[in-house]
Amino acid sequence: MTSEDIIKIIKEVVEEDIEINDQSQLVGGESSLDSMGLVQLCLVLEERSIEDGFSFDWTSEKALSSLNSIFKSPKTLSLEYNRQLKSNKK
Amino acid sequence: MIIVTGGSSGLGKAITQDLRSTGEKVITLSRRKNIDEKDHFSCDITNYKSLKEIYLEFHKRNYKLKALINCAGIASMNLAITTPASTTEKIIRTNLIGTIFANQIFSPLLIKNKVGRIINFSTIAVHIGLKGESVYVASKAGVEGFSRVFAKELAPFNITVNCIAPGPIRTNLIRGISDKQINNIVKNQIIKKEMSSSAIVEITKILLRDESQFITGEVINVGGV
Repeated sequence: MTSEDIIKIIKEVVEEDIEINDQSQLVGGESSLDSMGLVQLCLVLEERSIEDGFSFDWTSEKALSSLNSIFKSPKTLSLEYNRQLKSNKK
Repeated sequence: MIIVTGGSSGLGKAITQDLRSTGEKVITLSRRKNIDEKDHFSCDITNYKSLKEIYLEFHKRNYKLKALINCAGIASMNLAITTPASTTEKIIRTNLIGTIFANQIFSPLLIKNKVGRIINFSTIAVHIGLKGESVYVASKAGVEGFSRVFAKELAPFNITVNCIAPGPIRTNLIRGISDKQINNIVKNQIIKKEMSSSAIVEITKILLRDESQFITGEVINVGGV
């Protein structure tokens, strides 16, 4: 799962061609996603993860961290998805 | 498909049997094992991981969830200072944390459909505040607070979240309560009559109807307070 994949999913979720890059904030003030969009993004990632043979966990302590949140940007979310994919393949 | 936690006994069983009699597919979750039924999953609702495994199984089977009804619960009547720590933890874990886990884990199946109903169970004792029920009331007051906020989070997906708060019903849940204590609760209700499971089944069915789409974030104190 690349940052570009995450950005594509976000654009599908918000149903708009928004300005977003791999460093854009996903939660909070400047985010293009509202709470409804964030929930939908999580569910799409879960669908993808099941296809990839694992269940994406977005409820980790890290997800809530203000400094290292997995929802900080498309890049951090992509890194976390790939980390979980790799650890589930072990 | 409808999920009923605590669906193998008491109120949950009454709701399950009634809904099944109308042709609804109802899957029950409870601790009970050896139930000879294909639509029953044995699990501990306080165990997040085991609930998640059941969720993934439902996902795999492509079940379309219409409603989640959380009846699983336990009760223990004691003065607060004489309640053992283990009992306090067990009541809070089962009634509050178990209900929250079930809401968190199964609601994505409703969100995907962009419609649905969640019904959590509280008790009229939250409003009445009877002596000897402090921990039980604390657990159910938590369920009411959670439900009110969760209703706001799920409203954009056309999912309603409500609580039914029954008065005392003679099921196994309150088998340790004396007639005097039951009468004491009933006399605090507006309708000073003991209710049966069937009254709660009917209110549950009202909340499940399409016409109830604008009822959310509510606590229905059955019998009135």
